[in-house]
Amino acid sequence: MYCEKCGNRLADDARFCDTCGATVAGAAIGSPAAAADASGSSVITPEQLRAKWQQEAAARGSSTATSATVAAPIAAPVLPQVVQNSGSGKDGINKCPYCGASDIQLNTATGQLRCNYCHREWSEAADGLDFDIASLNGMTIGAGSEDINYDASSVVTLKCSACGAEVVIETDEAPQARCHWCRNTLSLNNQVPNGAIPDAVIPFRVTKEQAQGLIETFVHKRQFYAHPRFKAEFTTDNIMGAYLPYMVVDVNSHASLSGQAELLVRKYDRDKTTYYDADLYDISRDFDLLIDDLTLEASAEKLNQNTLVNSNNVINAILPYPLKETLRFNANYLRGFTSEKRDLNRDAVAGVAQAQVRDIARYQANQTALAYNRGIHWENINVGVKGQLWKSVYLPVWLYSYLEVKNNGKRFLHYVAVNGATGETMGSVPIHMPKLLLISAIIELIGCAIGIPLTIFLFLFVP
Amino acid sequence: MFFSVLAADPLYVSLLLSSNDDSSGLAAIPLLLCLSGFIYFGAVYARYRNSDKRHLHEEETPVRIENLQQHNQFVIRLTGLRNSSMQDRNDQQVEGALNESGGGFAEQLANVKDWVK
Repeated sequence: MYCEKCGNRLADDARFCDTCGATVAGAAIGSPAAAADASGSSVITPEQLRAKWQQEAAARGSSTATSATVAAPIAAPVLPQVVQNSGSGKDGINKCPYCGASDIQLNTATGQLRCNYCHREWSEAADGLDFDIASLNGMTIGAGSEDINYDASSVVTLKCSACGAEVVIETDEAPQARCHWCRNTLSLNNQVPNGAIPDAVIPFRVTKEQAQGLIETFVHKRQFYAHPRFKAEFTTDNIMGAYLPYMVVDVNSHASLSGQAELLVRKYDRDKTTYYDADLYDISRDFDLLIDDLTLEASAEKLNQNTLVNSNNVINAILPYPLKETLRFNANYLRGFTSEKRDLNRDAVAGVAQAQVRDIARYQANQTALAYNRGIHWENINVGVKGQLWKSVYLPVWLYSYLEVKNNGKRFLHYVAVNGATGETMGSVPIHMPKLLLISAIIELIGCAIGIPLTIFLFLFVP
Repeated sequence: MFFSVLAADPLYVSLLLSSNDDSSGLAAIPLLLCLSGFIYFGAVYARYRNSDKRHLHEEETPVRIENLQQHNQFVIRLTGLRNSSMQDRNDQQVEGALNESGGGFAEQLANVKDWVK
């Protein structure tokens, strides 16, 4: 007997091809799956599982597929319009559209999925969530941005469509698992209520070797004051490629700003003092503000960027990503990388989003008032949101981490992060404080030795 | 906290000098020399720790503005001002930055895990 897909020779009783994973015609009869169905066992299909979750969500009174057309503030508790964006991605075995094999992986060089059997490549744009921002009205969200059910189990059981075995996927670790019987890879591509599956993904385009080079260059430029223990232990062999969760927001809004501004008209010196004359204006700006892809961390740990206690700000600093290149989520993009599950809902980041929208409005208004060279005092900044679109997205980051244990026992985790799509690099390097303090003190002494006599000289002899 | 304040030192000094009433560069030189050790420490600390770095959301987020309406009304000419820039100017203020030590959203977000049940 031979496989219809790849021609591989098979055993007479084979239910699947051990080369490409294709199901052998007729093999379902008498398979564990068929047996399970016939016996009415408790095996749950992905569709049944999802229906169960939706029932649970409805019981909790969470979001439903109801449209809302009223203007609302960011993430107000209105019923959102939910856009399903799972496309052709199915839970279970994802097969190569060309040869049917299930051995699929990201090719970092091209950013596309590649079949490891026939070597063809493909990807799917996340166009289901591509809206004209000016037409946004009310709250629209991708299905992957729905509120998380924190009680939902992180363990999902799928039935392997090749051999019928039940395969457990631990979504806290990866949305994929291998069937222990037939070795096919099973994927979760449709949204689950625990935040593990986003609406879209930007795959890695920066290879591990490139990321290692960028991190080494970054650190080598900061070697002189780097902590000796860090220098001794530094190696980029163990850097991690991780997909981190973000919320991406499009906002259709109207901004109104008013205040006062000053325009310099004259500058002159009198009695060793400089004076300025300026014209004072009342100004106002009123405009439609269409914001595309405001990006916010959707992980509680990464959103906390208090630089006194962590270096998460360097991960924030490698934004932005080329969000026009987002692709429909497919768990195969994550293969070989780690991923962090989203643990924040829209409400948790709404305050940050609101403040950032105001910042953008202020910045744009400033651009229309550049002539006021002494500055502007904006008294009123009002941004009315007409419509908003929220998407959850996995974005790729190469991370080098180093845990610094200080003499007082305090710990500080330093990151050097590389944007997995653009290669932008930022990081934090532990400092050898005694060395820096000593050299700073020497510079201070020299500066004072020159500065104090110079001050006396200027005071005594310069009129 | 101490190191973060020092890290901001170069910026503080440059603001101090730029807003000084007396714009004579000569008077600023001794001040710079007497603060040179602190400035050096702050500059090195900032370069290694990068605690001031963040995503410039206000500049880097793609934005389109439409239907712009502008209003500019002259009020009065102010004379004899001693500051080089407007008092109470807030056009460079940023509210949504996440990494301001002890300020901005940092304090609010320190307990963000409370939102995660």
